[in-house]
Amino acid sequence: MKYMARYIFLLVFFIYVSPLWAAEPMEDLKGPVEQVIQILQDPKYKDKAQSDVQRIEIMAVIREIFDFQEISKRTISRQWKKFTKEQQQEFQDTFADFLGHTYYQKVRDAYQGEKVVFLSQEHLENGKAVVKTNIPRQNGAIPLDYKMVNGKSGWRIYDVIIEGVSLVNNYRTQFSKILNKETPDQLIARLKKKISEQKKQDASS
Amino acid sequence: MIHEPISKLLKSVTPAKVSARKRAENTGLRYASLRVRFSPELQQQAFEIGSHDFHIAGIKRVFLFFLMAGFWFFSEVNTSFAQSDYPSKPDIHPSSARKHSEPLEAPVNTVEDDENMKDDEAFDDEEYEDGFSEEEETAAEIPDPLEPWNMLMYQFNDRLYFWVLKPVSQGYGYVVPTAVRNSIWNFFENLESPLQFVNCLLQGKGSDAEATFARFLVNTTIGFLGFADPAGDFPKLKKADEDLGQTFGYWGIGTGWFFTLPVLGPSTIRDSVGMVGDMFLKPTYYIRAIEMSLGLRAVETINTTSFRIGDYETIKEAALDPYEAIRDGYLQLRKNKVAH
Repeated sequence: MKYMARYIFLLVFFIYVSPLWAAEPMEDLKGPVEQVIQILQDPKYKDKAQSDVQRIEIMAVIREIFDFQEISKRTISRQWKKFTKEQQQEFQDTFADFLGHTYYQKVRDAYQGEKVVFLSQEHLENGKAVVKTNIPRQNGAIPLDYKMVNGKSGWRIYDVIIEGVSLVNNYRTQFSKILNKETPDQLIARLKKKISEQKKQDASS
Repeated sequence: MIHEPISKLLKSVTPAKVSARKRAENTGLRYASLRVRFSPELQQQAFEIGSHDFHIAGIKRVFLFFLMAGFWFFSEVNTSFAQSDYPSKPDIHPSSARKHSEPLEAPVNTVEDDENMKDDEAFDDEEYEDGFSEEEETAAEIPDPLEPWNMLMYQFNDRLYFWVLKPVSQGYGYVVPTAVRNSIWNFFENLESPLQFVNCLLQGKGSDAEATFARFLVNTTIGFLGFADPAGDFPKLKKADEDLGQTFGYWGIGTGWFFTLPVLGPSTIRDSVGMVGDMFLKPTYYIRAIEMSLGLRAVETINTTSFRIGDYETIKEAALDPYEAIRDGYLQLRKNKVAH
């Protein structure tokens, strides 16, 4: 009888715990990463004229796994409450678009079939986790960590850390300097200007 | 007796070209002269003759070191003053603000922190309760009083990269095959070993020091003076990435102000002082011919850059304010390195 209780406890424990195990951050991340790599390698996008289609397709995957609302809040941080609801929404969309444009162009030009190596995952407090990955490169790999938060739609990324440099922190420093002098609308305008510059540059190159 | 060395020292700080030419004529290894320096009679002789510039070069570097150290100390003191001037600094983390606002605290603080607390609560949605403490601590909070200088140097380095370093490295990359560039990379990596070994020891990282030593031994012998990297096949002989700036950080010394160096790029006062100290541990420092020493430095830089073309552009294009992005990136990178 004594053992029975223990088994029941273990059984109940595992039943309780298993849904948490079902969605591991690393598993949630692997799918979208594979998808993006697949789109990058897809021969039908070889032609540069197809770039926009390819970018939109990648962005669709990115928007699923990246929590841009959380990212926006964290990059603006204390000034977020100064934004109106509309400004918050607009900032969020523009910033996502900006990141998409910037990194899509870079990745498309630099990608040479490297495989992302998934190293480990580590659970933090409050339903957060870090997934550590590596991108092999000549003379050493680039460590790339994803900070993820567990939400309704599974684990989603709220920060990317490249060689120890947090993307969110980096933009926060820049934005807070700009917002010290300028209004939220001006910041959004700056982002939009940067996007159109990138488009122009990409079209001419 | 006493006037002569001082006047010589002063002279040696300003017209560097004269001693550079002298040094160029004398193409011995500097450590040979170091040995000379430690024998008292010869040292006396050298002082009297005064034609040898080796002790002056040494003094110059020590002088530079102390100058930087003084500057850094000054900035450290100033930073701590500056931080106590900004009441917004301690309110970064809601929970720490709450801790501070307990009645035990001095009454002056309580008023301040209560305000901060309200501020934080207005800002907080539930999801902000956590995890903001260490993440909030960015370069934005570190004052940047040297900004005018840094900005100037940033622009100088930016142009240097796009006008000189990038085209040269690209050309070099086309001409020199990757295998050769890899060997040169390995060679210079291997030369960093003494520096890393000492810094591992200074940080009490015994096993890392051991690995670095073994690595240096293996690569210098079997690896043909470090041109090959046979130690790379053994994960245990992992390359340590330590320098004096990190050692200072490990000892709990703050970064000091952000300080952009011409040609060498972003740094802090602490790391610049560290860089000067590290110089003594680089074998290339003991090459007496300045052209040789500078030439090696140039080869190293161009070779490294040839592997890294596009990185700087990415950082710059991804930023709304490239200067701030690089400042924050550097500070984050160093902080992370000190922690490891």
